[in-house]
Amino acid sequence: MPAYRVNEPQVVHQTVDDETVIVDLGTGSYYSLRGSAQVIWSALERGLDGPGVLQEVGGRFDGKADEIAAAVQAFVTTLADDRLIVPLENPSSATPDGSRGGDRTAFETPVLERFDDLQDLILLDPVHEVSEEQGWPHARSPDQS
Amino acid sequence: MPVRPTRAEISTVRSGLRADVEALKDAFLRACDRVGVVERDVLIAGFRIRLVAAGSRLLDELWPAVAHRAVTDRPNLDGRGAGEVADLTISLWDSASSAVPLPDIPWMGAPEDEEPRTIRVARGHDLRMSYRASEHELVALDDRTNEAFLWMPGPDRVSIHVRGAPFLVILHWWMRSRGVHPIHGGAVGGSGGGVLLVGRGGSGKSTTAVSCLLDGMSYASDDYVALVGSGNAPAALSMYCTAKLDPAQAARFPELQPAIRTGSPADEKVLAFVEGFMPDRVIDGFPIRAILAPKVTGATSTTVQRLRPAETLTALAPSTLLGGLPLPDPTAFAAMAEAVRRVPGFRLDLGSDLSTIAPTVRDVLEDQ
Repeated sequence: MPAYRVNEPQVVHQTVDDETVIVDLGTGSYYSLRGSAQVIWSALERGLDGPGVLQEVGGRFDGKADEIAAAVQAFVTTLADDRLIVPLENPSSATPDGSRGGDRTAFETPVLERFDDLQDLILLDPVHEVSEEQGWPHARSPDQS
Repeated sequence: MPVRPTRAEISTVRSGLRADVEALKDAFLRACDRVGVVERDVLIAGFRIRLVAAGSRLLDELWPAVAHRAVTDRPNLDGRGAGEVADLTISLWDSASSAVPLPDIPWMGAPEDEEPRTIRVARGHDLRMSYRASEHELVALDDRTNEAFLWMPGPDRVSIHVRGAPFLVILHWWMRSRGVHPIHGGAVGGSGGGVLLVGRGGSGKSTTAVSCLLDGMSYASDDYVALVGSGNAPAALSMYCTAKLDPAQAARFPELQPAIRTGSPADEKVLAFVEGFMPDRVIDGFPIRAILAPKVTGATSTTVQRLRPAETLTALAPSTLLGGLPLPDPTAFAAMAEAVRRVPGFRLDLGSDLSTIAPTVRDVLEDQ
């Protein structure tokens, strides 16, 4: 499993009390993650690769390693299929967070809770980003806000 | 029917946004020459916003929603007059009453040919423009000079959404870099604090807000408020003093009928203007003591149930970020998350007995 990054700026997310809410501004879907799903998301957000994610999850939850690995892989695939994460082009040397102590709990299969009830609000037309100098459809340069 | 321009046709146009904004400005000034200038100031979220209109007809349509925020230290002027410096100036005009057509803006295509839900957005350094076809509204903002422009085809084309929340796109863009975030939510309470009412359209925000208004609580909004206070106690500040209800629901509030103005027969909702109806219950804003997510239930009485912070954020944030405002603001998401961390959230299960709503909201407020 490669390292991933959050598919920003289309995908935005916030974490409160160990739960993460994700909003896909492109599709209009939004998501809720908690438990092991939130831990995996947090590890991916920090740029951890497959072994790093598994190490992070293994440090927080009890369970059979092969079952955890299979569940994590399936969950990451779901995140990637929904384009919430995309492969990281230049993986960094991110390391698992070993600072988190606390009680270990039994591993539960991560769940991506998805809500589509606001999709009807999303734009039918794509947003056309316009270069000030050249006009649409020339993409704006990265230094333009 | 004219053919909507294709991407290939538009790509032949080399029109910078600066030129588009200048063309809008020129047309606005020509409109002023024809029908005169009307200026009014409002104070929204602590910012002095100057509305400069070519003639009064379009402004008269948009004004009632912000009339409660009128600045009275400066008389309305006919012509450019001296006065307090405005933080933001919005110049507005329409073609029908001024007989000045919209200048050609290549990336927009032909406004009348757009699919109703199309929103076209152009963004450059310091400049943003959008055309919302459903609202017949073109806006432009120069964030460097704090100048904005709003064009509509005519005063009779103002939709109920724009009438209830005028200048929303401009304020959404301009306020964000100043730490203020218009969010999709109502707010009722008192000077010591109030509740933020959140959720998608149809969840019961307006029913709750109006129930509380008629029960004697102070009213900031039913639909959009300015959220401030990231890092401090969050506060909700009034932007629009309107209530938008579907006709059947509005009929359940006979006391509200004098405040209701009917719009187009095609409108799905009716709009009530609270400022002229109960001016003493209109409030500038207040600290947020609780966040309530109304939900219509089949029960008779209204009850509350505590939500986890993430559940509250899920009720609050997506409808703001996905609500159709061009260029959603990720920093608003962070501000909403901060508010959720600081303030308890509850699901407000609305009963069919409307008289049970306000006392339940009061109970929540008193418990905080």
